[in-house]
Amino acid sequence: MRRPGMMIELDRCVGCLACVSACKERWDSGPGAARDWVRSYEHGKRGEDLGVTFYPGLCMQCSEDPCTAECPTGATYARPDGIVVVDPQVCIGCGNCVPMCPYGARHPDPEKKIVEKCNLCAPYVARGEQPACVQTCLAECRHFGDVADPDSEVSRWIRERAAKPLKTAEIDVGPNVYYAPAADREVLIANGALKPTRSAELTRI
Amino acid sequence: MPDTPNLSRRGWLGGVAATAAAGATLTSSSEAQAFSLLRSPEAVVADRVVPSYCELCFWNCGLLAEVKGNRILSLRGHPDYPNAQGRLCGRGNAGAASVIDRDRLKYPMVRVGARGEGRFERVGWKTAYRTIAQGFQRIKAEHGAQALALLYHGRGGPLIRRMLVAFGSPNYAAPSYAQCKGSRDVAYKLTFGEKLTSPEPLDLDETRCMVLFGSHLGENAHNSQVQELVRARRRGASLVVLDPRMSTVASRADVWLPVRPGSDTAVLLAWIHLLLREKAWNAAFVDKHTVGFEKLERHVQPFTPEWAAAQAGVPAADILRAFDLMRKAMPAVLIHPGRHVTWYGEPDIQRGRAQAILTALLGAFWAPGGIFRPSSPTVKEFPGPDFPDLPKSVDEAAGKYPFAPEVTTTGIREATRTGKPYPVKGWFVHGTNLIQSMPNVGETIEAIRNLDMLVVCDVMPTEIVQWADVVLPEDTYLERYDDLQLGAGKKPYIGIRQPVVTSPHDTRPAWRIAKELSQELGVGDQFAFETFEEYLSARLEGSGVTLAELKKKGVHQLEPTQPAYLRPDEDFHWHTPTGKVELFSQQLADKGFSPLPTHTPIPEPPAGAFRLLYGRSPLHSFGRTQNNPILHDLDSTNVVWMHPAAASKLGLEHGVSVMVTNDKGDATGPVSLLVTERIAPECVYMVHGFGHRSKGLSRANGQGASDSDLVRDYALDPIGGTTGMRTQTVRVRAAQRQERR
Ligand code: SF4
Ligand code: SF4
Ligand code: SF4
Repeated sequence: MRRPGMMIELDRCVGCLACVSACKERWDSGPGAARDWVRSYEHGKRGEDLGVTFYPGLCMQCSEDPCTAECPTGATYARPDGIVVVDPQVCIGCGNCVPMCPYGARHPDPEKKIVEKCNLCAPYVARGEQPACVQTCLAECRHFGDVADPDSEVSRWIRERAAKPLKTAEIDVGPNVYYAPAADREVLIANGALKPTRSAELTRI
Repeated sequence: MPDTPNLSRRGWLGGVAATAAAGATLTSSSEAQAFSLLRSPEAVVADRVVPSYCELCFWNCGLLAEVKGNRILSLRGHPDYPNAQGRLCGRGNAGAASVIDRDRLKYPMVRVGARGEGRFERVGWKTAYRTIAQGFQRIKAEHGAQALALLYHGRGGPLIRRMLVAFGSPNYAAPSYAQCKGSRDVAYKLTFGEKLTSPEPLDLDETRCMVLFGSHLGENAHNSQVQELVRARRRGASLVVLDPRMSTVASRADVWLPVRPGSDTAVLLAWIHLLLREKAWNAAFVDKHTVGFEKLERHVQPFTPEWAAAQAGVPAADILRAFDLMRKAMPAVLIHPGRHVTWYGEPDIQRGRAQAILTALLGAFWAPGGIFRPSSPTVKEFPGPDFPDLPKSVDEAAGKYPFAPEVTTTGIREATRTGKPYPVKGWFVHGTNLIQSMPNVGETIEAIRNLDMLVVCDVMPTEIVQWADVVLPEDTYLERYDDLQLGAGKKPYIGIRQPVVTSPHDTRPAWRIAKELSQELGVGDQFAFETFEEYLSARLEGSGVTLAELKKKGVHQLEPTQPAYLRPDEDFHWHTPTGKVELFSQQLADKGFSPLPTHTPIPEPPAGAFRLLYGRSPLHSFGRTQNNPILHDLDSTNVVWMHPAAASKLGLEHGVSVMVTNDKGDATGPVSLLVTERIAPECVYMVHGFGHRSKGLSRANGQGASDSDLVRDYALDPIGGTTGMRTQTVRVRAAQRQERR
């Protein structure tokens, strides 16, 4: 079974934000909204081990898709290939799904008045393109493809760089975006890239 | 809006949503197009793909625009353009938003209020041209044509220059020289007889070691250069970065030398010293191509790594480690000449000379992995009558800047301000916001007050526009033809900018403005074409590509006109007075300057003050892009970086709102403080281009701080006339309640 996913090399990323800008433009994200992000974390001490790690993040297209569970309308669901999508025609923008994502990959779009998220550029991929963020990445550190196929290019990247998804013993919902190398991955986790999911009591219908 | 699926807007509720929506209001429906409703390739199908090239910055990357009707759906990097290689940077991706920016200049205007007040009234193009022509003719009659000057940046500039020169003035200048690349160009010209092309001919494909001086690639999104640098790292090339700040690229380096500001030359001299002491220089190149080796050898004797370490405040061991990386990689070592290099005045030339000399000693000039020899395409000039004999430029007449290859913005401003060596009374400013691009705003405004006429042609109502007498609104780069892009490189190429969509406003392209205004000025015979296609076709004749082909492909690659590397037996006659690469520069000595590079320490900031450093955000170009709806949304303000020790001494906490001040009474801010170990304790850092004050820029106005508001104490380089702008020391204090926003 095909399982589209991504692999990101954290030690190559230069924090240029071309990915975020391309995504925002491609998907017309409203003011304050974007489907992907690049955070930056400083660690260590000047004169010793000072360093910077970027965290280019996006929806991890998790196999367990916890974010679809609390949707009152059925607007959000996992496609057969695992890509988690929001149907803009059905979504009422209630925001119930937002805190159900451990990565904060869902956000309300103030202009579209729905909850938005990355769909791995599925319609563009369907016509033979790479996702916008992958296609434009200046560092070529984002690799897209079928992570279930061991012979795919992205699987080779995952093996070659020993990439792993962002998960912990406590929080593991089967993410399909892989990160390398281990040291930088740890930095992301230490800086709270994952948060326990929580039902949105207040906004629940 | 057609083309957008009809979305249900039920139930817009929930606290989560409100947080993100706070502060986000859209005011016009055309603007909502930038953030328009959900679009997907099934719902909105492009009806054409138009190739052109980008102008969010002057890297000028090739692009492919997907368009439906008069709406741009997406911009992508052109796969066949060497400067794009199929990718655009974060700015380039957001280019379409500049077309629908509600704040654009929309029609010609003349001033009705006092100068600088920013009050205008709409006029027609004819009236605008007549007003300018009358003003310029009067100035010419009273003071001579040399009393007119053009200050410009961008592809449309050369055609306006053609108009000005035909009218009789030699005074045209771009901040990209005196406020940016100038000192390096002068230094390399003095040494090798060649100035560097843009993009720089860096052989990143072959390099085994890269050395960067303050270049913060990644934050500075020079598209292909970033791509090639990352690829070189992947291939295993080593990386050395000198920067008092841990830039992104410094954080990725094998050796980061956090040098004291202005001490790069000391480290360079130590490397030269080591290369000579260890007899490791590239003898083949040095013997065949250089002069002054013995003098250099004597000169660098005292400059040991220990001496440099003390000067630069970095461990000698790290200077040696970096040297070992270079030595191992010889001759495939890339000493990056830098791009924005006007930091400290005359010392910038000395630093550039030291970089050039080190490159020569490594045998890395016109060599694989170093600086390659670029080929440039040749196309025809559009025919026109001979230009008149020109009087001396302001700089020539003043006998200033003996090695400046072009007139300086600084020289024009000085003449306008003081009337010496002769008065300058009219400025045509095209595509450059002089209020932010030149240091010491006070002097710029003083100069403007002396003008009889200031014409500003731009896309956005920047600060300089507020001072204009006549405003000419230009089409955005996605709406106009411009002159050809003549790309120099291993493989030269010709690129075209062509209209992707049509402007919804009463704006015009620079070529048309130049042509029509020339007619009013009586020099219209320089522009003997009806359409710009005619002009472009004439230039392309014999180039191997027709206009129709170029419009379709976007770019045409040519064969190199010369080999990218010097052959071992090649007897090249260098374009210097000796015909050799001049390690020792008699030219400099003759004019009373140091013929061999020296290191002059920069004074430490007074107690409690900081050296102001500035740099780039990957999402902004100078002060040009802060109002772009998408870029503003992603990166709306800058912050001031300060070391934790310095912050705690001042009792300032991370995230507080501060004002940055100088000792001349200028203040900029309020702006947030970023407390970070990445900056040296004696410096503060901010991204350049924020802190706009033009009310016309509704998004960017008042956001962040402007380094240009503070830089009064610039250092004028007497060799090439460039302005060092890291010479300003500043103080930082908490913003008072009434200053906070
Ligand atoms: S895959 Fe597409 S939608 Fe997802 S983050 Fe990348 S550009 Fe955005
Ligand atoms: S485009 Fe690539 S290099 Fe740039 S920030 Fe995104 S992931 Fe990093
Ligand atoms: S580097 Fe970016 S902004 Fe500059 S021309 Fe290229 S794509 Fe445009």
